Amino acid sequence: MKEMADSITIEQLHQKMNQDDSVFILDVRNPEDYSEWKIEGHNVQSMNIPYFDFLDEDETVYKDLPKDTEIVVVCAKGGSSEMVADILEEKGYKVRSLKEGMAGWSQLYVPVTIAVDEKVKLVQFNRLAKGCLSYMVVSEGSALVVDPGRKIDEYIDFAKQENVKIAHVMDTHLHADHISGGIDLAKQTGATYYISSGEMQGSDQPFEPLEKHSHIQFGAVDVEILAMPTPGHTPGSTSFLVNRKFLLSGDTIFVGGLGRPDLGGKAKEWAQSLYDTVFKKVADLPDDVLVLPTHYADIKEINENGYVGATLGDIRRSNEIMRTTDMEKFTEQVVSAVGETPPNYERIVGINRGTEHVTDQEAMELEIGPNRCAVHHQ
Amino acid sequence: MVAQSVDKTLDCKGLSCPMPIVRTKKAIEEIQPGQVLEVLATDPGSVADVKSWANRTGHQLIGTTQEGDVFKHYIRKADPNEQKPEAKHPHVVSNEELLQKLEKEPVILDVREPMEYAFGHIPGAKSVPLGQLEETLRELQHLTNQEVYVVCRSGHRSDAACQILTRKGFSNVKNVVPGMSGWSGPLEKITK
Repeated sequence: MKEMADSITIEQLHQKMNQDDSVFILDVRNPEDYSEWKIEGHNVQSMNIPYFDFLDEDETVYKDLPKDTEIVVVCAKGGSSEMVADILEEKGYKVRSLKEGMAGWSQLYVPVTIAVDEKVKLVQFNRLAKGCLSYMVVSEGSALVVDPGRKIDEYIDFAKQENVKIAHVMDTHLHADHISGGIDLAKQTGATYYISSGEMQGSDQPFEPLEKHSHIQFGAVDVEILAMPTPGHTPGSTSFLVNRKFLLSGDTIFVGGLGRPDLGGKAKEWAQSLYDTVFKKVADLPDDVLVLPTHYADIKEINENGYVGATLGDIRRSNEIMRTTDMEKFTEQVVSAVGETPPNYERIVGINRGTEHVTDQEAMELEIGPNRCAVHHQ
Repeated sequence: MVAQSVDKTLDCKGLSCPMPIVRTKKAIEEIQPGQVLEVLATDPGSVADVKSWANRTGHQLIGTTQEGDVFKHYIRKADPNEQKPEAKHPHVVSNEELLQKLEKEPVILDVREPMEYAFGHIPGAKSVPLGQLEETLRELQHLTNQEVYVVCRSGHRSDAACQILTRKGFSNVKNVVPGMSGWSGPLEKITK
């Protein structure tokens, strides 16, 4: 009887990445997709051999694979990796095939607690495959969720564990790179959904305009949430300052730089409001405020505590653009640093605004792939 | 136009990765070099995978079209003779030379298959598949003393065409090398 290779789930792979000294991944997608995005980690070693190279019974194709280490075979959805894993298993390799492949990997959210005291808990949800971050602030039985992704059960289950009710759901801006779970999460939990109304033109979805609120408070303690319009990334971009200690900066300020101002077709104008944000609104905040963005561009941005974030002081020190006070120079640098636009961003914006509707399957395929919202200035 | 030049059709609708490529590989083994395989697939992943697979195996992905949910991939089986073109016709011009003369509207004969022509050809080029060249000669008689540029994908089929034309009395025939595989100039497409 033909032997079948074992499989490994997304969660098991993530656990393995946390526990093992090294993880060997054989990615069998085509080289173009592989170079576009892949599973990364501090201890991950990966190799790309497309599955169709295994169709000829030519063993030299995979002669460089290790015989003594477990190999995790990965493809787009889990079909081809199973085929390749079976072939390798027969040849005596130690293999497991990643169930659901990169499609599944893109749905993994890892919650990490950033700060906790008797009254307040702040949790970052890291969607590893996309470099998307979302947040939950918990206090006295209530919770606030910021920039939730599509897989809203993650937040609902977490709130259940914490025994709290999600009361507020907010998007810092209309996302262009991933589909927001904001409206759905608010509907399912009965929470209020807030977004800046400049972002929702033409939408028939219910929302509470953020610009009407300067503070949003919940819980018996004074959890102050300051909605601060930071219009650099998109015209209605907003940042949230939690207890004057944590700046949920959306796509405006990242650990490694600033947001891209070009996705509305008016890069120059938006770059100027990004300038105002950095040098007028954020300039007043002290260096010890912890900046927690919605995205990161590189796994190196995950710090030793397991989350993505840096103090405003550190960001000011390590990003020249944060010190470029000459407005013309600033605009020029920000506009010229933008890379490829996120794939399908116009459709994703339409979906998030509620003017375009897609099936679950389509939604998944539209937002799969790497994140391209951050601007690299290095 | 397009359907007539397909030699075999493979239905992979509803199949997901890796099956479309597994079946395509098998089907291509069953056709002759130079023949065209049409693959129907609904898996969006097949678009990048067929392209990448063809690249690695040397078969030519002529193009992909989409009708509703169905992707149609057209693949021409590699012809070992075309891998190493031996230009025998003495008069050749480079792609760049032809590109420079393009605005003077030179006579260009494209001797690839109609499907390859449909997916992109030099504006103004006339489609005369190599296999039908001899029977089309009468229509081309008025060109015997004109400068005629002959193009295919890699310069091999056009070389054969140049030799046929010269033999039949055409006095000023030039083979364009390498041809469409390296063409960076304007393209015209025939879409349904």
